[in-house]
Amino acid sequence: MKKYLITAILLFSFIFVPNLKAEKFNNVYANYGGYNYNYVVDGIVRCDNCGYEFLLSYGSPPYVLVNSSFPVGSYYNITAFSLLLNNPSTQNRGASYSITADVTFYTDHFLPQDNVSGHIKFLNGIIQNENHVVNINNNGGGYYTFSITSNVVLSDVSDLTSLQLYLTTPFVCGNGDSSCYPSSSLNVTNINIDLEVYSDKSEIIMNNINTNINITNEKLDDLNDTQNDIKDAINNTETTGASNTANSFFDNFQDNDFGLSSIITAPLRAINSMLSDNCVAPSATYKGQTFSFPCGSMLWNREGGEEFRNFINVIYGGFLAYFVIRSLFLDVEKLKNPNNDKVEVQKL
Amino acid sequence: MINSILTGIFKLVIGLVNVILLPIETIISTYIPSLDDAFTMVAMLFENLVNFIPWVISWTGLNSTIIGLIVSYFTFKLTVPFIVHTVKLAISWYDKLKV
Repeated sequence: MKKYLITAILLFSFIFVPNLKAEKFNNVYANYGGYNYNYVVDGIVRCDNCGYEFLLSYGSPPYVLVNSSFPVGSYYNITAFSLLLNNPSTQNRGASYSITADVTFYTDHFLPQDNVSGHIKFLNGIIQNENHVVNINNNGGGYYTFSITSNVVLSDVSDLTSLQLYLTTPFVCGNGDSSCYPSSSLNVTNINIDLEVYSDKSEIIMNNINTNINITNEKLDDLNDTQNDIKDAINNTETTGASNTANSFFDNFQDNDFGLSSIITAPLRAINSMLSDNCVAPSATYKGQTFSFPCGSMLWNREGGEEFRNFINVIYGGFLAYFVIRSLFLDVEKLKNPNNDKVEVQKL
Repeated sequence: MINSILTGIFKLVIGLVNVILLPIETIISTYIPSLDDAFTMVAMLFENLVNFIPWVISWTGLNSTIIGLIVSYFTFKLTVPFIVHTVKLAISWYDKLKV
């Protein structure tokens, strides 16, 4: 029901809301004062405290190679967005951006566990003190890496006064250990920026609707997958697992080889051996010579033998089914006969 | 599956028989070792005969499904009267106790 409602809203929006196409800034130019589509973008990314300048390299999406030590407490000021804000054509327009930073750090106090979470502060002009808990990969030798992403949707880019990537000292806590240790250095190896400016505010609404539709569809897909799994499990006629379980259950029943008990249980052993396909070729020794009698598989495994064997088994099965049903019918008739005292109804 | 259940039941019964006869076997092997040897020889003969059965079946071409069907049918046919008589016996005991 919710899915239909969202679809109806979507169709209504398509009809009555004009100019919905987004302009995507996924190619930020690498040079100073470069031009990208209609907007002038400054390609410099500055590390204010450490005095380095980093260029936005050319690519899709654009990324910045930092590859230098990042002092604890400093931050990257991405001025490209500030210049974008100054452009009159972007006023009163919505935007969304995501920033991903890959970070490497070193610590002497790291615990030997592989999956350890740390707390990283990631600040920007809109979201303050956004704490991320990330999975940290152990690269060995005291060096560890993690990746952190922030997604922001702005209804109006004029709300964005500045944009700062602020990485604090990661505190690393070991699994099952309450103590946490700060890292001694921090090195940002890669920053990915994906900026999208909407041509109309209504596109933000559309974006949210599309996001909700996608989430709903994902949940419905998950639900359908679960239902299909249940159906498959119910309709699955494969009983190999049950057979293996039944076999393994009885594996622990050992029969000891005693003389008297072996004689008594000989009929059961005979029936049991009938049920097994394990043919052991019997052999006999006469005047120093050993004679072996091969199993029937020598005949049936020849070309065409398997088909002939199946045909014989169909004939066997037909006769057998006839006699079984006939015998069963006679047994039922005997049960119904009150004069037959073999099985009689007890008078209560 | 049928074969597995039947095989398991037979293994269970054989194991139970071994457990029940274990004290007797121990007494015989301790005090009458020659009789125990005789039993063992007979048991070995049966063992050889039992091992001969799969060889015969392999030449007949019967597959395990058909054999399992035969064995399960006769197991069912011979077990049902036994269960009915057991139930009858239990009911008769109950009647006598009730009086």
